[in-house]
Amino acid sequence: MANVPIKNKIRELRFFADEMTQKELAELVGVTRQTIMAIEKSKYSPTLEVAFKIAEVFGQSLEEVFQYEG
Amino acid sequence: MSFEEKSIWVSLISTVCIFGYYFINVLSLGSMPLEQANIAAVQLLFQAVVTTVVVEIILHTVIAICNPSDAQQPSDERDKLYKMRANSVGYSVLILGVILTLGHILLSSFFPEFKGQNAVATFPLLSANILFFSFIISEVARYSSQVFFYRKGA
Repeated sequence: MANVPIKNKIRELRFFADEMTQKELAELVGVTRQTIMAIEKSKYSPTLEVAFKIAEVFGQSLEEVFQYEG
Repeated sequence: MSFEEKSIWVSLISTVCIFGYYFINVLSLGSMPLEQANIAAVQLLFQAVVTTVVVEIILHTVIAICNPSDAQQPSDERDKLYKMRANSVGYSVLILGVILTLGHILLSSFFPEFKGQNAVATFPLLSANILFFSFIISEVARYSSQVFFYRKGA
């Protein structure tokens, strides 16, 4: 199955957020660690709600975290 | 691997093994007199259902003990999405089975000679087993597609 067309900078943002772990981000957003991993690898497109929550955690706008590459 | 995915693997493997064993044994009942075969088939079905419940409880308890924090976590949006998509796959398979069963019942009712001519006439609880087989196949399809979504992404 092809990867989803939505790319993201979550890995990079986690690194600059004091090397935040996937588990920490998952707890802040309210999903499982495996879901964060799937989003990072572009294997899963999060809902708008989760996407906004992730952007909010890093203090960025949605477009700065997620890019549509359809 | 998330707790949810491990749980699906447990259900998939136990369903395939236990009901695979059940259907192999039911097929072998064809050589018995029909009344005797019907009783044996019901006993086998009862055994399979009880075994499934016991095995699922034990294995789910084991994976919950091995991953206590994951086990307490509720399903998230990805789990729910994959479950919904897998339900749709399972439903399509189940519908096929229901149509087959309906076809068999209607053929047997309107063309009694169809019932008498076939080797299937001696098969124990035929309609119930066609329906039950479809249910098990739909469950296997549902679990397999869920595992596929978790592995490959969607």
